[in-house]
Amino acid sequence: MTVIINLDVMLAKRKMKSCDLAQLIGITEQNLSILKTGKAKAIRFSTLESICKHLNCQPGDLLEYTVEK
Amino acid sequence: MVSGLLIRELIMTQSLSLHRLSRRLRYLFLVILIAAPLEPILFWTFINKLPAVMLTGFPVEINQPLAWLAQILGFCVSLIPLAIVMVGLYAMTNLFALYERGTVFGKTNVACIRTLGKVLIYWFFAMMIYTPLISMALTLDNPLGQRLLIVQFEFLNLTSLLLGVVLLAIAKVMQLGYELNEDHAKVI
Repeated sequence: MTVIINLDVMLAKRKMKSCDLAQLIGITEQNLSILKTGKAKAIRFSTLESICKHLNCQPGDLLEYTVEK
Repeated sequence: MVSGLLIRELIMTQSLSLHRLSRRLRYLFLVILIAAPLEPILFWTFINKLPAVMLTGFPVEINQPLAWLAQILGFCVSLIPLAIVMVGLYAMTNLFALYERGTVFGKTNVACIRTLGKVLIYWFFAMMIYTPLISMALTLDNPLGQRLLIVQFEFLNLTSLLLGVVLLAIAKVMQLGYELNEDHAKVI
């Protein structure tokens, strides 16, 4: 996948645990893990908005596009 | 909020009733699957002792006691539809076991429905060869000139062929449903 999710980086920066974020945004830890590992096929705007709100960041801080070689 | 809770409760109730119904049906098909081979064994062993009313399902009339060779041949021929029925029953047992576990749009569900469709199609072809073979087996003891080879076409068998094709089409739709479900599970 060429779009990388830097959720674990943001979680580390904010010193927040995955389980706490999952609880705050109202999704299961398994789903958050799918998102973190890049296995998700899509992300809802509502989920993205909620993550940005609780991590106090921009969507660009979470998503990064890299050129596939 | 209240309507959301009501919907969740309704889904829980429905999945519980699906679980119960599936379990009952699975047991039913399992019992039939185990008992199915007993019927031809008992039938062909005691065919000469059975009342005439039980011998009417054949394309030829049985008037005299059958020789052991005819009994063995008849039993062997009856294994053709039995094998198909057993494959169908096994697929049904598997399908209801999946419903019992709450798997409705799984890969295995699709495989089960596809098997059921194929079983119905094979049934049509099995019946096409069953009738000539059973008529040969039952009239083998008859004197020369009275041995029969009957070819019969029944509308009911054509219905099974059509149903089989419909089930294969449903399996394809289920495959799409499974893929959509997989996609949906990965939308966070």
